[in-house]
Amino acid sequence: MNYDAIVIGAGNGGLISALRLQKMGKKVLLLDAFNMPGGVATSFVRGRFEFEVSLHELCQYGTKENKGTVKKLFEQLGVDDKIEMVPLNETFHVLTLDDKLEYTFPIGINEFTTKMEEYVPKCRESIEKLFKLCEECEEALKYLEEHKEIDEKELKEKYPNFLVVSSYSVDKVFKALKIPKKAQEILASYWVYLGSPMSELSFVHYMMMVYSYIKNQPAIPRGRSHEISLVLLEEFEKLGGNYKFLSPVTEIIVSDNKAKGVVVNNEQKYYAKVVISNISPNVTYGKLIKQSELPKRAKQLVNARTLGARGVCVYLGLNKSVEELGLKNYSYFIYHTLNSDKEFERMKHLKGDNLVGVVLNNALNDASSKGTTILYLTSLMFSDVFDEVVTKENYFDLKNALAENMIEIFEQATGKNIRDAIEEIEIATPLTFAHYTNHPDGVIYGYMAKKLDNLLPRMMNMQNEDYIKGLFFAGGFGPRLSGYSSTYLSGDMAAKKALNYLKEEEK
Amino acid sequence: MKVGLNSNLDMLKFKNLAKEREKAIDSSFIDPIKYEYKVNKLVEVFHPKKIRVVVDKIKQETIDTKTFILKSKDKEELPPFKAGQYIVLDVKLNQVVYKRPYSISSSIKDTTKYEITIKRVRNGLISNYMLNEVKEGMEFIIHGPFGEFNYQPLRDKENILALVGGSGITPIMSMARSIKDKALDCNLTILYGEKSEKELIFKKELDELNKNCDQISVNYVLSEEESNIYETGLIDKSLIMKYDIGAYSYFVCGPTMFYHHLNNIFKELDIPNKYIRHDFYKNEEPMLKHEEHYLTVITDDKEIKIPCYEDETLMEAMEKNGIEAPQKCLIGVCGFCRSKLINGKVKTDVDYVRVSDKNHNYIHPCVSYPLSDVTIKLCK
Repeated sequence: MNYDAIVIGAGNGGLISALRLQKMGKKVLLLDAFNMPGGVATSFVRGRFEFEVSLHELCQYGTKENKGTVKKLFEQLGVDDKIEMVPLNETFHVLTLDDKLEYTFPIGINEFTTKMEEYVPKCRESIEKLFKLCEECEEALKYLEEHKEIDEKELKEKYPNFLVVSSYSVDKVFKALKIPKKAQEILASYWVYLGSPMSELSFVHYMMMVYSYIKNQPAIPRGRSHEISLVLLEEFEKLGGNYKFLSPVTEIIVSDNKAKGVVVNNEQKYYAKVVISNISPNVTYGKLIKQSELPKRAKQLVNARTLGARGVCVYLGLNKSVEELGLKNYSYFIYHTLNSDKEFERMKHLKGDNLVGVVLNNALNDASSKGTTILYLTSLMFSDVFDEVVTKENYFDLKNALAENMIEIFEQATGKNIRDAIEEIEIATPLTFAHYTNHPDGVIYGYMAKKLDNLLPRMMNMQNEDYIKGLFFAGGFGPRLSGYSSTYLSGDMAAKKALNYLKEEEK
Repeated sequence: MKVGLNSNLDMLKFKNLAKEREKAIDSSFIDPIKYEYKVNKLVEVFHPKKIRVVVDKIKQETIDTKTFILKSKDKEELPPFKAGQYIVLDVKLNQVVYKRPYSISSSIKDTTKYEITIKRVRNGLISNYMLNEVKEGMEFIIHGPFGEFNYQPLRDKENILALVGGSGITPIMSMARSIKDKALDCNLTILYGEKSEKELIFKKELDELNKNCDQISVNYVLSEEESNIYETGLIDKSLIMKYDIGAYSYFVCGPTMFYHHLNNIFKELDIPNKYIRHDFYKNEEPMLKHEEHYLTVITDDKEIKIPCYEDETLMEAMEKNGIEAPQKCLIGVCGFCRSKLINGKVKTDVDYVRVSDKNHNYIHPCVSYPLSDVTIKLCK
């Protein structure tokens, strides 16, 4: 059977790639090993609760008046009006275990700045400077995306400050802007979302995310991320797209350095000019392609990179309302200290000490039945420490011990009792994520964002890294890194690359 | 505005990001790519796609109940499981693969075998086949283990009151055996309801556990037999109230009717949901008409039209007609059979469908009865 394009994996990236290509009139086959769309962008039901698997908030979404890039993408693809998005009214809320510090921030650049000044007197000037710089960076990135050939003079004239900061880490730029140390640390609160400390993360990448959270209201879908995945798949189907579930790809057929198709379940072959992989390059290159057909450089690229965060997630259905529990906020970033470099080191160990809590009912008041609350706790690990410790024999106990520790940390930080209200509990570990995504070590953040594997170098070298013709990558391991908005956008980038390639092939 | 990072080489530095990255790739090594870690290999151990098993031994438990001891055909051990979980057994009969969930009744300590215990259901195609035809040495495919009917110390009281109806004893037996083996740590009181003494499964072993294991106590409740030793009648409110009702987590396992009956009692006793766990199986048809409708199934680019009666589930109709649909739990809970209702009307009593699935007309065919001609699309 012949297609224009085959998309492996119906995760965020794969769904967008498939839908974009189908919308452009291509004949697309979308494959997934499970029988649900979304990968980990889905939900599951336990008792009277429906739990989100992985989405905390969708950034770059915004509102009708203030559209973010993801909202614009959804509009282009004709799905925006089919998904009910609920805007969030806070950016972040951070607590420290050691010094018992607590900060909460509203949406909006002015509101945020004012709040920061309350916490850190005399910081206004530097914070305003920071947001000005963010605005310039945002425009510069837009310019770079829209122009294939960069006019150096124009870039220098229009975006001089962007050029200055483009190769620096967050902490260096914060210092240069003379932001008071305390404000620097508070601004670093989001670092776990990208999974590298301030000394490693590129300023542009990190602050583009933070800026977007503050400027464009983040949002969540009413029906959990499953609603988005479901709507994307239905739209794809409506346009005539083919999908096959329970169909694990066991080989990508490559010859003469060109992708030719895939083998499903070791038997069924499907042919196409383009293959888009929404799975990790490790598995794509290391397992699915005959090693004799694999360019040396593909191996070198994968071997040059470091896997990003692994995680443990605890999903809690509580039999008390948010009022009864005393939980006022949506997100709870909980660290020992606000020093991201220190905390990053701490999180190479298997203690689950730092975590992000999300109280879903504080964004969707009917997220669960009256008098109940949904709480998620996520704790990241920046090494393969779980892999080292886990065995067949200790797995169930280890899972519970980690969850118990996370619940205790959350209780300690907030001073609230959670344990006695647990009606439903589910725990996901790197093994769980490995099961559902097939990612090496169950990693959930793709590759670590550090030095030359930050956003800008990835994006700028993107065209040079398609080592096999007709094979493109979508998803969290891609040029835009991990996270919901990034993977949606990377899926679209992969589709556009594929369209160009198909056009050239036709000639 | 000026950022105080003074450099005249900005453009160069910016442009060099890509070049530097190329250099880093140049100097990287060409060793084989690591795509698998220990956790990836453990996925195969905990969640194998399917398992080939051999019936190692068959034990007659009661006149119409047998235990089948299953061992892996290919490996020393089967996947670790939690007491209360089930497996799905593929039974091939007349060219049709029937999938049936069975709770594992053996201890979690010994994963060289799974024991499943099957009671004859009147007119039951699969139970009769299992009891009449299956011999030691026969091979089957199983899937799993699955299920959330487990003791969870972070949630449950350490005292469990198991309320059992008939062959609902099987997952509870796994708990009891695991406690005896010190592989599970909780106190288990079992109220085991059955029609008559001779129909009690595992009676001898349960008596021994009752006598010898401090953490386990067993009480029988006979509904169709007079007795001086055992409780008689149904497991009802007055019986449950003999226990310190605030001290327990309740584990209910039995047929659908039993489960509904107990839910009403829990409501009357004001027992919070948190302390109620349940597992159930369908043993009688709901009061529906035996009216004929047509079910159109869209799958693999084909449309198949089959008859479907108002008193059978869409899944049962598909199964009878040899249409292989995804399925696991058969009680509407696991969601694996999730399918899109294209048109027609169905009736369902069990509701574990996601909010957005409901809004987009997805149903669980294993608990959906047709009220008209129906068209569904399978997700596969």
